Amino acid sequence: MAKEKSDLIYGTLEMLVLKALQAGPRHGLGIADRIHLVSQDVLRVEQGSLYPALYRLESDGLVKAEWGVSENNRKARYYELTAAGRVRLTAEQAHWERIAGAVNLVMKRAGNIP
Amino acid sequence: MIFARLGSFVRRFTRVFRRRSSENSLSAELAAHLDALTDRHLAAGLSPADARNAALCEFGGVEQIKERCRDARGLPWLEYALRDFQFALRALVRSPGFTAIAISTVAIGIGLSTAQFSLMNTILLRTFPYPDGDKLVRVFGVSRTSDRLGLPPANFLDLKSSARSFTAISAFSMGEASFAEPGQPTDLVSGLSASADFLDALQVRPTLGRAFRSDEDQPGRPNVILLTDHFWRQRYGADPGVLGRTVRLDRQPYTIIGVLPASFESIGWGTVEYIRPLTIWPNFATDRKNAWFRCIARLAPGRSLGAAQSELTVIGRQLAAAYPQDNDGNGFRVAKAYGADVDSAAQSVHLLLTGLATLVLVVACVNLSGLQFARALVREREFAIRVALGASRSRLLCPLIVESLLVAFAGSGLGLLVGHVAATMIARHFQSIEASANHQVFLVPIDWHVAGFGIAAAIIAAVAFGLAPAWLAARRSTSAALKLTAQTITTSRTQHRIRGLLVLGQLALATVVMSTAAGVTVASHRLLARDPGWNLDGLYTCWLGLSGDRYSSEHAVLDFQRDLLERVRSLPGVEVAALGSALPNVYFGDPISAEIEGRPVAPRDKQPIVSSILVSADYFATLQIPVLRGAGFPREFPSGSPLVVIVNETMAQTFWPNENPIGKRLRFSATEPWRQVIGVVRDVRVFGSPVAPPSAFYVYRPLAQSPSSYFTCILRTSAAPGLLAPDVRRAVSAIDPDLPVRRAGSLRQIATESNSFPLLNKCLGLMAVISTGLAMLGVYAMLSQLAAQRTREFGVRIALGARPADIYNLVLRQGTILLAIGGTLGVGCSLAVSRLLHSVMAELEFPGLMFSLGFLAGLGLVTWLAACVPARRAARVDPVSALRAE
Repeated sequence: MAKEKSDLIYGTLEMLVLKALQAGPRHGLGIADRIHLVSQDVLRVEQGSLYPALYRLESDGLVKAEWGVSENNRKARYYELTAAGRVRLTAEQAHWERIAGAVNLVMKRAGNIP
Repeated sequence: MIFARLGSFVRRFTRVFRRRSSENSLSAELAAHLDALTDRHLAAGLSPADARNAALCEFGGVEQIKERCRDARGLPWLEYALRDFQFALRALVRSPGFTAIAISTVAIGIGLSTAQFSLMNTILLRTFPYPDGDKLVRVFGVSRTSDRLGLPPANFLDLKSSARSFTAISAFSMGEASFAEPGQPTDLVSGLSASADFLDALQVRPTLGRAFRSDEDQPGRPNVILLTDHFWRQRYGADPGVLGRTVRLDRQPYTIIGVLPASFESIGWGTVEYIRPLTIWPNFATDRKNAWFRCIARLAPGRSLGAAQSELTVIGRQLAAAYPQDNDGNGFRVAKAYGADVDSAAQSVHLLLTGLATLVLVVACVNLSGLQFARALVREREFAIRVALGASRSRLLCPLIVESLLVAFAGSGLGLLVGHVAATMIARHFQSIEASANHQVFLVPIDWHVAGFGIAAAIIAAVAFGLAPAWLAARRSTSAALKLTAQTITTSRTQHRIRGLLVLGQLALATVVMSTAAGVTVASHRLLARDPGWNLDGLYTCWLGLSGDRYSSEHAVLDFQRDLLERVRSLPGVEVAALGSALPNVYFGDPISAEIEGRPVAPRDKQPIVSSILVSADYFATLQIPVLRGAGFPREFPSGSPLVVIVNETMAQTFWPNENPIGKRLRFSATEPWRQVIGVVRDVRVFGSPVAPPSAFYVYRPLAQSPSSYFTCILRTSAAPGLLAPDVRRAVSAIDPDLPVRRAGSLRQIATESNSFPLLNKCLGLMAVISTGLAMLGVYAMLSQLAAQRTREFGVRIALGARPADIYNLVLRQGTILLAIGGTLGVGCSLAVSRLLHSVMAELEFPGLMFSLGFLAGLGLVTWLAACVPARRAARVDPVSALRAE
């Protein structure tokens, strides 16, 4: 499997994509923009890397895609979460919060104990 | 979870087969994304070209991303496999010559070996098709002269009461009987007489009616009979109403009590049409002389063959100690029941055929290896370029593996077909031979172990040698590989050596197959053509067996024989007629130990063994065996006249060297009177038998002094012997209308038809031709490839002044060296094989070293022809075009 860009924590891209789709269907560029915007310019997705992730999610039945017309009147393929995708997002998010919380705890306290 | 996985797999799987539409969709989507990015940069004020570039930078490498997308959504391994399959198929179709040769090579190798192994399995190795058939054993009597004798009734009864190794032990005898329904003419049928527990031992239940009751083999019980399935169908149209019907068997009334299942009939019994009880008469309890009981037994649970043999060895010793008169030196042998009747010569013939068939398989695999190796070598540069372009090792090897597997599997499939057809054909041929000898047809199921072995060998040969060059190419550095141009590739020393060894091996193995085949063929022709010491031609023969109350006295037998001889002598065309207990065309005489008067009495196991034959007057005249000294037997022996014998030349010279043997005396046991030698006849040989006779000494006794109720009638005639059959049948019927005439016909024809050498030679010839063809193909392919690779070098040589003849010789020399080494090895091996065969079949005289050398010369000629074509092509190289072609 391909490596993700260094400013993305490895393995989180799929979770981020699912989260970006939570509010509603988006096309590829829209997903990249959304992640970029919400992360306040910290997370920059290499645009191309998005697609292998999207195709993987689609093949796994977590998202479904349909051709539509974009805001600029161009043809674009819109991705939408499936029921399985929503379940997966919830699970991933809970998992992520536990891990991130634990990492935070370690980073804050581990240095203090003599 | 499982459903999600399954759904994912199905989605990915269907993607694989909708590649074009999903490929278009992928391109369109990525293009749309790029366009949208470009628009954004245009809007920010960049020029169209800069905007496009910026978008591409931001997006990343389009082709790489597409590749990752394809991996992400489909089933990459399946896509690769399909692509490899297409690629391999295309590669094979593009070189139809190679494909055809490779596939047919595999097919022939596998077909032939499978057919042969299947046949051998059927004849030698299979178990009886009865429940726990591998527990069934045969018990043979062993004496100094043979280890496949029957048992005398008393020994059998002792064995039955004392042996603990068996759950059942049963006696039977095979024979023929006249069979008739009331008021109908008699037919000759074959069947078994068996003790009452016979079917229990085999664990066979009748499909109709009942089996024998345990007392039905005792004297005084009503006569009952079981029919076999095929006889019941053929004779009675499978009518269940036959139960209870009365038929006449050897003139006695018998009641049909049951029908056996079809599975009862199998090879090993010969033709069986009925089973009747083998009546155990009271006098059997003391009969230790006549070893006519055949014995089959079922091993007790947990008893091995070895344990049973040890127990029987002990019982054998006890019997020998208790009855030294008849049993001294004798014992028992236990053998697996199936194939136990196949004698050692037949076994060694089967082993020979199987061994040679295996060699053919090896030659085929080696040939395939050579072909694959050569083909892969030619593509070495292609591999090098693909490695340079980034093909991973697995991507390089996979299509080749698939290609090799395709060849191996196509060849194997065809091979199984060939094997099946060949086995069926050989079995049918056997059948037509055996039918005349009254044996049963057998089916030859494909031996899947061997087929599997052959297929595995073919796959290994194809894959290993097809991959080796690619493997080497993948390891070589890119720059070194690319320096190889089409013209400068010359096979490396190692590669050349591998190639040479493969061809050498093929030549050696093919020489073994060929020269063994030729040796056996020549030896068998010599065997059939040599003077047997008697004249087979112009003889009519038939066998008669006198049984029943009518012939219970010796006088009745003698009267019948005298009457018969008188009647047949007067038949038109008959010159001379005789009777005998044996003919020198199959088994000649019963081995028996003899005591010579005037020589110190040797212990029983050191006494000379002689073959004893009972004959009437005129026996020697009829067979045209010259009487060297004394006279033949007279027609009449006045009562009270002394016992007389006639011996053969070798016997006379061995026991009475430089003496006149006439008047000397011998006897067969210490309790009987001496028998006087009244004549010496020339030695005879058993016609067409490859095995040495049990003894070189023959003693002929007059039938009139030792009446025998089973005998052959031989007539020498000036007309075609076969034409006498109806006359003889009429003569026999005139004396006894119920007596069947068996195995009647021209002796030459019977002897030739029952000889299996013609069939054997055909099989051997076929193998020889195939292995030679394969080896020649190997030589041709290797030299062609070699010559093609050296085209440029030859061009340079010619440009520098070499004559075409020099180039020609250069190529030819390669072939000659290989042939010299391979052929010599092969001839050496085949001489060893003939020696081995000779040790089993002593009567076969194999051709000597000169024959092998002459043979090698012939092989050289064929190899030379195979080498000529590429050599001539090489010699015709045009230096200018060879040097320019680059």
